[in-house]
Amino acid sequence: MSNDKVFVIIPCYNEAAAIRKTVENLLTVRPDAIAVVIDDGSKDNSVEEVKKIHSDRVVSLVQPFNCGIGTTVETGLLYAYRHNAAYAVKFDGDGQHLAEEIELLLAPLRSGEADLTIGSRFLVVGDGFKSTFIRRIGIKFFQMLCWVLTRKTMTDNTSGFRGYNQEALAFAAKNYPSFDYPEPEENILFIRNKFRVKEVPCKMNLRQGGTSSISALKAVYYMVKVSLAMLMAALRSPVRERKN
Amino acid sequence: MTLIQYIALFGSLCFLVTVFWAIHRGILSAGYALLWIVVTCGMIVLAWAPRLLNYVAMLIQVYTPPFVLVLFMLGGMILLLFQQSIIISRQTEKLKRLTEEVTLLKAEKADKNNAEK
Repeated sequence: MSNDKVFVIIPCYNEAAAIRKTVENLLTVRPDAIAVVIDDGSKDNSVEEVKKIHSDRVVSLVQPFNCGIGTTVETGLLYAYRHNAAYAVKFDGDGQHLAEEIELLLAPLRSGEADLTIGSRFLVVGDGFKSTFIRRIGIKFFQMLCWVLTRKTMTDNTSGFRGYNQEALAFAAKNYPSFDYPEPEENILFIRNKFRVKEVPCKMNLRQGGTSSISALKAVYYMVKVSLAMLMAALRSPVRERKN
Repeated sequence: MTLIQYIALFGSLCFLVTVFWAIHRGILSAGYALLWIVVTCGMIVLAWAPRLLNYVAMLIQVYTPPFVLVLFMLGGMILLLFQQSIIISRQTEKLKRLTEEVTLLKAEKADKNNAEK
């Protein structure tokens, strides 16, 4: 029997400044949520900050050492999968994602319209996400590469705000890319494995604390690495055939 | 036999002893040990009978026999590196799975301890 609660997967690395506020806000906004915080060997007191939250709806998973974002997310997805979660949502610990927007990710999953939903900052009409010029070039490049590899237009390939139904969760818990920046590769992987992937317009906040995993100096290196990972994902033979 | 042959033979035998020492100490697993024993045996044979190189060079129409050695060494190294990359990738995947299981078991244990209190 599936668990009706929404398992919210929150990877955490040196997010002591924001993690407590983020989780507490999530629990207030979503009474049906179980926050699964996975610490990826933080050097600050992120783990202690999570322990300060007195709620039986918080699960704290602490990895023995720093494994990277891919493994951290997969650990959370595996936890949700083993607890028969009907739906799981990936949510950033730095306060970038809005708990109020989770329902936007869940609606297409509940209606059976999609298996994986991705919150896109660029589909928001009017008050869209403002980004730097270099970043916009990168985003356009990933859009193009994703289209070339899958023939599907994804406007926000790097968005980490995602919703999974049970089928997508079962797949992700075993096949999540163990890469530094897994989202664009994850898109290719899901599309190639014939999951129904849908983007939904979502607003996002500026970071509340912590440091971004991508500095300006690393941008080019990031682009090359992510592009190669996307190509590799497209080359891999699909591991799943869609039923029906 | 020439001086260089004696040196090559001595070097190869030393390497063979090193391989057996590593097996004895348990720091080299059986699969790799076999590979390195075969490589060392090849080195000993070539040190003993370097004319074999001339013969192989003639067979595959390489005019300078030492190039045959370079060719085989390079080819062997590339294959070995590729095989090592595959092994590292597999080990990384296993390590990832293991880490995930440890993380989940730790949480489960903490839950049980809290429930008992």
